[in-house]
Amino acid sequence: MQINIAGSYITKFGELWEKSLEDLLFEAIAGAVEDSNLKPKDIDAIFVANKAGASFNNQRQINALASSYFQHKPPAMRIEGACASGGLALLSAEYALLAKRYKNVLVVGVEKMTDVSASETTQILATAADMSREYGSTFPGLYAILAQAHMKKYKTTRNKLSAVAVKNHKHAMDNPMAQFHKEFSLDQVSSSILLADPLRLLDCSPISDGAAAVILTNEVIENEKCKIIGTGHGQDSLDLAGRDSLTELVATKQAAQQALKQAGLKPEQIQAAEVHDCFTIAEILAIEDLGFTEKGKSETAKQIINPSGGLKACGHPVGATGVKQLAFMNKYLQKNNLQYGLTHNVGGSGATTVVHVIEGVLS
Amino acid sequence: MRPAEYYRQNKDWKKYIGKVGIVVASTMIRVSAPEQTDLLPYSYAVVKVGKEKKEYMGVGHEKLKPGDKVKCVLRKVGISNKAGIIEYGIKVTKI
Repeated sequence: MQINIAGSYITKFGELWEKSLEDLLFEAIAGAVEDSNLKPKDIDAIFVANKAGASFNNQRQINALASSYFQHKPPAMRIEGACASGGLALLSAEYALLAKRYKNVLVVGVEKMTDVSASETTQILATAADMSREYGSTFPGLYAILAQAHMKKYKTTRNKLSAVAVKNHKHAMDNPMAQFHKEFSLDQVSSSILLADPLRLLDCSPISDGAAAVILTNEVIENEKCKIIGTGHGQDSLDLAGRDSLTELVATKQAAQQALKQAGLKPEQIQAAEVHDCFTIAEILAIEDLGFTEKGKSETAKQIINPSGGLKACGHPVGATGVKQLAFMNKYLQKNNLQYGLTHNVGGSGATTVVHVIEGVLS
Repeated sequence: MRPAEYYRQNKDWKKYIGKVGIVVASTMIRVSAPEQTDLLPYSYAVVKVGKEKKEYMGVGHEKLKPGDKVKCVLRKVGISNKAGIIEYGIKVTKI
């Protein structure tokens, strides 16, 4: 499998009062087209990732909104899979390319979350849980249960959770598009307010506005850039109670195995990864379940994990995150002359996972 | 919760009320969606009930931990419902 990344763009992430959903969407589209050698009319189709535009912004049919950017109005569809919307939109676009339906497709992820109160946001985000079987839960609550189980089985410490946040905030200092440019100490993370024991405020990714876009092609590109050489899609029970284990995310293991097999790589050959650290425990689970380390030893990973700052510090506009991970890794591999990168995008508490393996062109 | 959803979940009550289970994993939720704000803080747990696993809120501010023996009871699970119904549902309490 080989799909080329012709262009990519990420907007600033943050609490962007001055920008609407449409502003963010169009900025990302324009940026990705400009970054490629393509003309707007060369875009054959659009795949839009968005979790909750109808709830956050009273905007449905975002596919048509995205298409309206272009004079030739290419066909567009919106894909929703909670926080994995971006990964699923990428997969849908890739299947269309592999089926030879299109030559050049645009994948854009967008979410404008800060126009409603934090409490309304909590409620909207909670709809990605199983609404009949997990009534009264919150996402910090569900991940707190995973953290409690991991702490019990692997003696995971409070400091190990905090170290994830400290590292990712440090990484975000080098990313101008990140929501936060502020470093924290272990003590600051460990003493921030409790949301759901043991998870504290600074264990959690923020509420963010932002968008990201990539243009994928099965055409040969001049000045070859990065390419996608493996994809995987894992699925598990939507509710935690329906799962066999609370100390691993089976969907991540499935997706990683598929993607790495397709790429012909072993986990240790991956040099950098953008993983879905919606909570600090989520990064620990991701590192283990992607096969980078044994269970309980995530701190020994050799890969550069979340160089963008991750969801934790770069921000997490939920529908945009999966696309942002690929867009960021596209530039990161080129800039740092690295050969293999991986992205890992999760929906909800781990029911849906999409993994991509990307190969850079070494100079 | 909408009235129709409330009606549908009522059908589960008689199946579980009075059943005894064991807490598998739990947390204490301190920030919630608007319906549960007046109930904070409350436990939220994965509970093994017979051969099934279920997820339930804990009664009151009771702190639950893995291994606790609990019973399924009918309690208020949400307040300030826009549809005007008082939301009851199954919670678990230590025995």
